[in-house]
Amino acid sequence: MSVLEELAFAAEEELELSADQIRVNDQLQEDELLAMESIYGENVIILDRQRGLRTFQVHIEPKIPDELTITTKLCTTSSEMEMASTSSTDEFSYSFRVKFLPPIVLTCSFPTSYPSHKPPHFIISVQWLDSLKISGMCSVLDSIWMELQGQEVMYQWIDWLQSSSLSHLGIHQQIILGPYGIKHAGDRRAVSESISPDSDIPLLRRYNDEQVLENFLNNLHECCICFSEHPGGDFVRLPCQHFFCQNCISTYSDLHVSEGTVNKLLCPELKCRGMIPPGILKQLLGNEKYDRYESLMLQKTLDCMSDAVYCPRCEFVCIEDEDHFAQCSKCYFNFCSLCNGARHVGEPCLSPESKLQLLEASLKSPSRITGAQRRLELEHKINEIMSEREVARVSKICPHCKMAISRIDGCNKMVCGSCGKYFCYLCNKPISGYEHFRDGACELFPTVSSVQQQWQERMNGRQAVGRLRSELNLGRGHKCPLCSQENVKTDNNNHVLCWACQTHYCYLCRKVVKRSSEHFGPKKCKQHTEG
Amino acid sequence: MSSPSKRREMDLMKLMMSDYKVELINDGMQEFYVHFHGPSDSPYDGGVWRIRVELPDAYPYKSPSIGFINRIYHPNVDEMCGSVCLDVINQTWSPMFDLVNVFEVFLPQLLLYPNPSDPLNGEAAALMMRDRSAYELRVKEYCQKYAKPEDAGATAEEKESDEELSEDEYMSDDEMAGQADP
Repeated sequence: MSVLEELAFAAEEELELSADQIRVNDQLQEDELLAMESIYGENVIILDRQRGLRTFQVHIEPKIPDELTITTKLCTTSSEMEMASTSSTDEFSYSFRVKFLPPIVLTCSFPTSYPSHKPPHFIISVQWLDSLKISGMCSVLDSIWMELQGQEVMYQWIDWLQSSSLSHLGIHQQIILGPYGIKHAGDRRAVSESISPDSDIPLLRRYNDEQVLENFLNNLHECCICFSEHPGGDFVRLPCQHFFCQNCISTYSDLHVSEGTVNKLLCPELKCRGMIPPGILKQLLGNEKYDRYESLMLQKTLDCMSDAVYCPRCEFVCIEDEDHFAQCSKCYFNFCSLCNGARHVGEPCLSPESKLQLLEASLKSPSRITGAQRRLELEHKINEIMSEREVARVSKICPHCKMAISRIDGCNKMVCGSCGKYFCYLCNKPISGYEHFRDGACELFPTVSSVQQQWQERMNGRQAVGRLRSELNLGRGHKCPLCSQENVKTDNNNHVLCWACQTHYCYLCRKVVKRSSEHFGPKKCKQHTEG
Repeated sequence: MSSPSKRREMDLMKLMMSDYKVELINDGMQEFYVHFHGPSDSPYDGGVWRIRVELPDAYPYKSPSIGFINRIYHPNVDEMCGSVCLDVINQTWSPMFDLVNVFEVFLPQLLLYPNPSDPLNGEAAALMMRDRSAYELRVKEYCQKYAKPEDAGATAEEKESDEELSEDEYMSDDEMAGQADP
């Protein structure tokens, strides 16, 4: 600012103007300032008058190509003054890309003789150029004034600085910071704020990052999963820098946690597969689902360790040995991981039947361990074993993978739903195909076919419907000749099947019907009548 | 789900614009047929297949189901009903994958490098491991017999009813190896 003052002071000494001229200039200056404010908005800042002269600052964002590389040569020798004479092996350059540069700051002061006789006093300050280059810019501003002498010049200056200054300096894709440490030469109006790589680089990077973020937040962007547009604030950005709209990444996370496929819950970007930080997951999933996520992750990790088993008593994780025995380090229970019972060295695992017998016996006998608590535990255990028994009743164990498979329909040649191998449902042996049923003891199709089974179930269903219907039409039906339960006619058909005793009888004459064709006919009871 | 239809529309459009012949089944954008040519550097070269794609409700978070209408000899494709083992698709699926990706990258890769650890067609897998050249010969035979351009156009109607029945088994997300009906 002091430079500006000096310049202003020096210039004023020279001219004497008429009051009229001063008034005209004054008006033009005011108009020009107003115009600039309306064009450049917040980028024009009006400052306090310097020695009574209008003073202001303009922040000019230079037009740069999509991405600009900023390079600086870093020297390993301590003295920067020696730069010219150092060999290239001591230097290495550091580059980074930016999309935004700190603006060129043009500070001006209107003398009373502007625009009639003199140009505005100015200084140009740039963060990322050295004073020599800035001096070059000052000269251009001077020459612009020379051409336009007598007219307002601010707009032309700003326009030039914004669109042509960089190319004028030969800067197209790259800016090289420095040289540093050279004594200030050139124009006094050229102020370089470039101090040293240590301060410049962080400053430029930070400015760029802030602008990139603000630009992102203020604009609409398309989510690459759902292709709909959202404002920047609706996006979630992962550490790998890929971003997705909140809806999509939530749905994605939710799906994997619900289905248990947490190992696949990674950055959706193809070939990225970066991690999603737990903090973000917590926000997306909510507490409950996040807890499920954590336990699934733990389980998956432990499952990878194939010798990890869970203690039957406290469900704490333990490591089993080759004989499938393990000791829980939490409750000290020594157990067998195959049957979940106590460790039985030398003996095979107990069948569900024997376990049940033992337990029922221990339930009846006077217990050393007191309390209803213990009884409750035993009851639970008994229920578990009863379930095992029931499973054994309605299913068979696949001889290959030991999965319990239930046969619902079809023949006895079973394809295990778990491992895909064949076995016979009757004798429970592994088989290779239909050969087994050709000359063996096992029959291919069961005697009570499933069709008959289904029919029985349907009959039961019909019973229920019949009862309901008669209940609804109470009083309007009449009693069955055999069991006296109320029955109602369906669609005018006088051939009624009693829902309770399954007897066929005629609605009209209340006699039992053995054969429909014998009882009903044109000369006998009519089969279909209303009411 | 966040605007599922926009994503489906875009994917379908992109597929059509990449010069793939697409036939829609009803306007729901749930399922459609695509004509697919065997990759040129594989024994499947020259074969043309009609492929049925079904997009689940949760698309793109869940992978589509893919089935070959006319027959193909491949370890990961069921020879009778043409369904591709869902697990193989699921292993590589990401919501960013789109349909063009499936036909340009995933299917060609699958044909070039079958996954023998999860075979729907066990015989094909075994042959491939045992005698590679015999396997390639068999593939070419099948292409000659079943994968001519006429096959990819004509067989749609016949195969539809068969497909309807067995397709259901592969719609689930259980990671099962294929089942043959008893």
